[in-house]
Amino acid sequence: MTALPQPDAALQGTAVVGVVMPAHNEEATLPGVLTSLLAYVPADRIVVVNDGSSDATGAVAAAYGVRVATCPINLGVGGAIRVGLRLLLRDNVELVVQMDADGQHDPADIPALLSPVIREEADLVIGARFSGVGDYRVGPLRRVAMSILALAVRLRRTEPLTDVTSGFKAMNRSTAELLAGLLPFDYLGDTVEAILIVRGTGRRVTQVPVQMKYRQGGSPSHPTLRSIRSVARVLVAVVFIRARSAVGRLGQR
Amino acid sequence: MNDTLRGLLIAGILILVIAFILGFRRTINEKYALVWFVVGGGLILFGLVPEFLARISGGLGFNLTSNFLLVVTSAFLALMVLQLAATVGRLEQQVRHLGEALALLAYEQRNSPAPIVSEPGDAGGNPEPGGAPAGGAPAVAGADAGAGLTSLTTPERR
Repeated sequence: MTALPQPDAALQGTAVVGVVMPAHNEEATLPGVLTSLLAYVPADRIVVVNDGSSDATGAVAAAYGVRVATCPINLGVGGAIRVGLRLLLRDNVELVVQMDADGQHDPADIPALLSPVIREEADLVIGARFSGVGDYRVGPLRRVAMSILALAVRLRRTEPLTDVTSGFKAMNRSTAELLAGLLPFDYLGDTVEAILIVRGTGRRVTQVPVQMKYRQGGSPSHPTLRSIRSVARVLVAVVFIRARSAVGRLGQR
Repeated sequence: MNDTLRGLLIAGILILVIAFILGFRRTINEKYALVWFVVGGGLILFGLVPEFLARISGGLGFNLTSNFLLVVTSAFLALMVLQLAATVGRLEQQVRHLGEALALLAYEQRNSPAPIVSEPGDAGGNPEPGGAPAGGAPAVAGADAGAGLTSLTTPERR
């Protein structure tokens, strides 16, 4: 990621790209994120989903001319993404990028993230944070949790994904349509469970190394204590998803 | 193996099976399935290793192991009821809130010629009547979808 691609040029002439960005109390980080994102994607194809924020997230996003969807109650990341996907899918978008509003994802990585989808080598691409790019580090507890989750998602015949909790993703329209209706609401559902759901329908999931920045403001949405419970919950969810896809009843909700 | 232990085993297996079926069908969400998996697993463990149950019970000063089981069960059920009551209370609030938001949205849709979700291209330039009260809560002027909802969401605690 040394030479930054020319703004717009990287995505010009390819398919129509839409960006969905769930945001819960991210007024501090949104300006920086949107400023750099607007160099790659036009404002009317960026959907910021204001997920029941108590700060000025909606107003800050609207000031950048992007589309803002407001959830009247806090739906959680998964619910916010579903709203954003449905809005984007009303138009003719062919590719969808999902990224966080907290500034940890670099829009400069979007072309690399989209590339496997454009080449039709994958239906869902995960931006992986531990692939030697950048200097992203986490505490030991979190690292153990992430290894457990990676193991739970792993399938024997596929290459292992190293970062299954990444919220930086690219997908084609068909995958976006699938997730717009099936994406779970709970924490980690939009990442770990989403990968299994996409795979369970016979779609291909791959990963691309991305640069990961530290949070630029605000506070993490999940304190450590609750995350143990979240990991336990998502492991149960993984069991159910695997059972459902084993008998071909994944698509019912 | 006596009847009590066999009963514990059967109850544990039944709970596991029922929790799995309900979770599989998405009737209960994973959080509650997890709780019942732990309960079912615990019962099976106690049924297979009764000394474990007796030792905990004795250690806590119970004369009868069955009394210990009864106390633990009552405490667990009371906690579950409280937790579910809290959940129902929260859901009630959310449903009311959604009803209010929907009523305002329906009103705005009926009284505004512009569509609620504007077409791409006129983003940011869609004047929404009543969507931007002057001097009030941070207004989202021209925000596309749900601009009318902001007046509802911002002053609330969430």
